[in-house]
Amino acid sequence: MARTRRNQAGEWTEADAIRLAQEGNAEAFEFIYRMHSRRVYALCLRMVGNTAEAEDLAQEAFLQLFRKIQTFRGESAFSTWLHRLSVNVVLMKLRKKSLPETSLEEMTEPDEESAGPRKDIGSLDPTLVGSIDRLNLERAVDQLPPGYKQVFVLHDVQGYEHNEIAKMMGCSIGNSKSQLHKARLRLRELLQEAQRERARQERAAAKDQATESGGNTSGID
Amino acid sequence: MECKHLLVELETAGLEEHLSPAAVTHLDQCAHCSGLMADLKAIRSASAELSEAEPPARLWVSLRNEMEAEGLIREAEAEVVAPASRPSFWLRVRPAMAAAYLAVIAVLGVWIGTNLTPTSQPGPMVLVGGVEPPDPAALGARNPVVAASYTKSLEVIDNFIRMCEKTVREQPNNEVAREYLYDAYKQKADLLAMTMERGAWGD
Repeated sequence: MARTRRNQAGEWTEADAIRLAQEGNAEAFEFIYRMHSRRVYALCLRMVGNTAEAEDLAQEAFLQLFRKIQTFRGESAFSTWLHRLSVNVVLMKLRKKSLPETSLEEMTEPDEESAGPRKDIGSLDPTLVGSIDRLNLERAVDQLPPGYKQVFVLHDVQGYEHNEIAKMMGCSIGNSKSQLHKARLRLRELLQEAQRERARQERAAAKDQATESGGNTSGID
Repeated sequence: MECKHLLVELETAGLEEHLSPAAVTHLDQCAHCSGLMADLKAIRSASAELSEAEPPARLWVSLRNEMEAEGLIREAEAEVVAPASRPSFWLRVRPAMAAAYLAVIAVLGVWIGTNLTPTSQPGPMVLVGGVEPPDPAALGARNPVVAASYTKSLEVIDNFIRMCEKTVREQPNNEVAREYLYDAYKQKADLLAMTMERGAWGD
């Protein structure tokens, strides 16, 4: 029965999967999960920065989706609906988590100690172009203050517009733009610091190697 | 324009919007700001690659368990996993299965009707393989009615066995097909044993 609803390649279309999922079909649920889980999980992971919490959030997002899938009538794109719902789950969780512990100011403005080294006015840092790898960027995003991180992930990673972010986060468009700008500047600092640290380590390693080879030479003599 | 003014413009206009002519001129003249602009664009470009990440396999397992617990899944797993194989196999074997059972009953009925006297030879047969089936010609000479029923029953059961064997070859993991094949062998063994035990084909 289910097979007849598949296309010629043997795969369901998303619309068919949604209809079957509304009937409680397990295979359709899995199809929808496989289609969207990478993006939903990435959103959760970038926002919270640890895998265990990201898994919990992604599961909660899909559970909410599947509980509400009966109400989906196709007025909007399903992926838009799903991802908006995921963002809401994540933001709700982050709000609950941050309210008793952190003020809004702390969420957005890094203090002097956590802000890392300040840029020397007038100095020219080596460019980051061509040197940003995924791992360093992930680490840097993890280090962003929560407020910066949320807007940055939604805009630059997930591709939402400022007006959408403002609506989801309950802030003004100007505030969203400002947070994004500060997030990018902070990321630049973090990536430059990582780049400097790498250079320092390479210099130290080269120095050690030179000392070692010098010592070996004198030993032979 | 000074560097700080460019920063303000970048904050409001972003990297996507067109910058004012004054900002463009400043970028052409200021290595510090043009480096900053290039870095911010590089960060934005690299960030798009973070939009997907592979979740661990346990996430789906855990999610599915939760959905089952909440009653969101309303179909049996078996029907979902192999919707084509199991029902079609059932549909194909059901008539043959019934025919085979009827055939055995018919032989029994014919045998009772002819009121043959049981003999002590040969002993019960438990395996089909390696045992020569009774010769219908010899059986027919002694009792044509039993011979006809036996031949027909054997044919039905053999067809049933071939069907089961074919399905098992095509779907080695199909437990239902294996079960039916075992039953079919058993039916044939029963038929042969019954015929031999009752001495239906004579001394």
